[in-house]
Amino acid sequence: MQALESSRRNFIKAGLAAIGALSAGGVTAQGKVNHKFDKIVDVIVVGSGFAGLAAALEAAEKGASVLLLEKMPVFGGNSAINGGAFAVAGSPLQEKEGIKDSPELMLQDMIKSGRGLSHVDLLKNIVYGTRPAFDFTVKYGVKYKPFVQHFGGHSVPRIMQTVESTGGGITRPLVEAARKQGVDLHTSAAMEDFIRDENGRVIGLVVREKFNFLQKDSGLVLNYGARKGIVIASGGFSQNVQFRKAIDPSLDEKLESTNHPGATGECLMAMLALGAMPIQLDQIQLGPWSSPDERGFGLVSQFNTIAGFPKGIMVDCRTGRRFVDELADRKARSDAILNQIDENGKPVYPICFVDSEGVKLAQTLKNGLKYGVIRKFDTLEELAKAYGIPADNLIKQVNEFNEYVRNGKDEQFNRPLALAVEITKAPFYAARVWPKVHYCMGGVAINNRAQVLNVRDLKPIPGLYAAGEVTGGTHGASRLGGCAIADGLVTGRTAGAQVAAEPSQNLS
Amino acid sequence: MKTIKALLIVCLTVLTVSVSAQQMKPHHQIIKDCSVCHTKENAVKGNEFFKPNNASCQSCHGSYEDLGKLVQNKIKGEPNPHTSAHYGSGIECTACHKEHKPSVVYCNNCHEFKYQMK
Repeated sequence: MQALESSRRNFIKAGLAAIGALSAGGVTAQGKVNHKFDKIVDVIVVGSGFAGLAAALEAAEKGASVLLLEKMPVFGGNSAINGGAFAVAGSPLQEKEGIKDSPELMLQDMIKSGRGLSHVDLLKNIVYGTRPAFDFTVKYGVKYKPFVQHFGGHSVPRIMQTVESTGGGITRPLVEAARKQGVDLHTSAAMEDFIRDENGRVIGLVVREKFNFLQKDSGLVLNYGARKGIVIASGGFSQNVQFRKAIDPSLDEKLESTNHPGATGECLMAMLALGAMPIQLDQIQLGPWSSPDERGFGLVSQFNTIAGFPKGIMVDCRTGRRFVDELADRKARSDAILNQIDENGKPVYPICFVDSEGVKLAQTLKNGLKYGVIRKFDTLEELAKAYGIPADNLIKQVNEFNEYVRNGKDEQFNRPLALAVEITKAPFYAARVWPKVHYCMGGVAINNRAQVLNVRDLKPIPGLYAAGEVTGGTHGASRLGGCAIADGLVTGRTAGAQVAAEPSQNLS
Repeated sequence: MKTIKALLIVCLTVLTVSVSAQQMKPHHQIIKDCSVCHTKENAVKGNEFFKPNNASCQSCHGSYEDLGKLVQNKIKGEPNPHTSAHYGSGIECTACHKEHKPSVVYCNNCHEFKYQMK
């Protein structure tokens, strides 16, 4: 049995740091793992977001004993705090509302957004899996809003959103379901490295139980064995400034992230060190709808996705003019917003606003107003004054836009106007906008069975699967909104089903 | 169950002479025996002295549902932290409530909530 070279140093440190670890026999002084596992199950899943939970449930449904490890003190990772928006091609609600959609149409939208970098075979797996994955969530009690939304870059409305407006509306029921299915769920349990057998098959993990995410050497080191295999569903690295800056120097500490504090990529690094093929690690997405006035994803992001962008407009506050299609894909919008800088390179935050008709569905409006990150104005003149926008220009822009809405054609940026309304009804609601680091399109290479591929020969690394944001190539240069839930759930289900079907290794 | 636990605490308080050197919250200072929180069930490889799991806290304090009701009138219009739309019961009590050091509001990694915490 062999451990990775990189892990050996860690083993020694870990062995010294952890109380009782050495006496328990998990690690020798040379850092070699002996054959003693503290626990052996069929499948270990790392991560408890959409992908991890879907994998754990799928494997458990197929009869495997499953251990799920989450390094944070909460379940759900970014999934639990995301907006709960899920792109489904061919949802029951689309059928009811007469919206013509298909997996092929969704595929074309995603290929376009990927700017030639998408791995189309992986994308296909996802678009065809969205409806079954949607049904999977409904089976476990997830509740969706009774209307379909239109997000940027999608050619038709196909976004289903949880009633809670957060991915927690999916992860909470899936955690409950996993408990009922007998999945052994651990929080504060951080994977540190892989354990392989003499043939290179991944057969286990070195794990820190009772881990404190603010203290890397905390907790107690244990070895867990997996007879069938391991699914890594650990998410991206948006919060790891050092790592993301090494990959893309423009994404430095000046940019905030929408992600939870644990999105730091250690499991991705462990897979790379194991020899997994990296794909497009430099494709890192900024969310174009966030606000510089609050931390993280906040309240403004959803105000903009449900109201500001589809029903209002976003303007340069120096000119009062629009400067981008508010429903373009995320990359086009983020790039346009990041260009809003003064002669010293300082951000000139654009203003996105909507009238009282367009704001109706914005669930985060109340709290946004309470915390002052969304502001309310009785007239457009007052709005202009508050942000230093030339009022005449702003009113002229609004009148032009209203005419586009009446005529059904955006003469400025050719934005789809299916959901747009004329901006007329006071009061008006506005927020400042600035992008934040949101999603890592890049990650490890997988095939359509969610097996992680070796960098040397692009063949599967035996016993190792990955799903969700930690995988790379699917979305190419820009992921469309609502497609992270699609990706996580579909690839997670694939990984869970595939790993459960592996022959059991004798680890005793 | 709660009565038994309460009785146990009283007995242990009487019987135990050694007082913990660890800093403790005022309402917990009646507890003189570490094993009330650091239970055997909670141990990893026989070692109890890690943060207790939820079952340990909830044997006295009740479920997240109970706690949600309990704090509803004390949170002054802020969202109820014990019935979170993101986590429900899927959050460790100790993510926020620290016994031997100041407590933190985990929600405020993103939000700006103002809670009076013990």
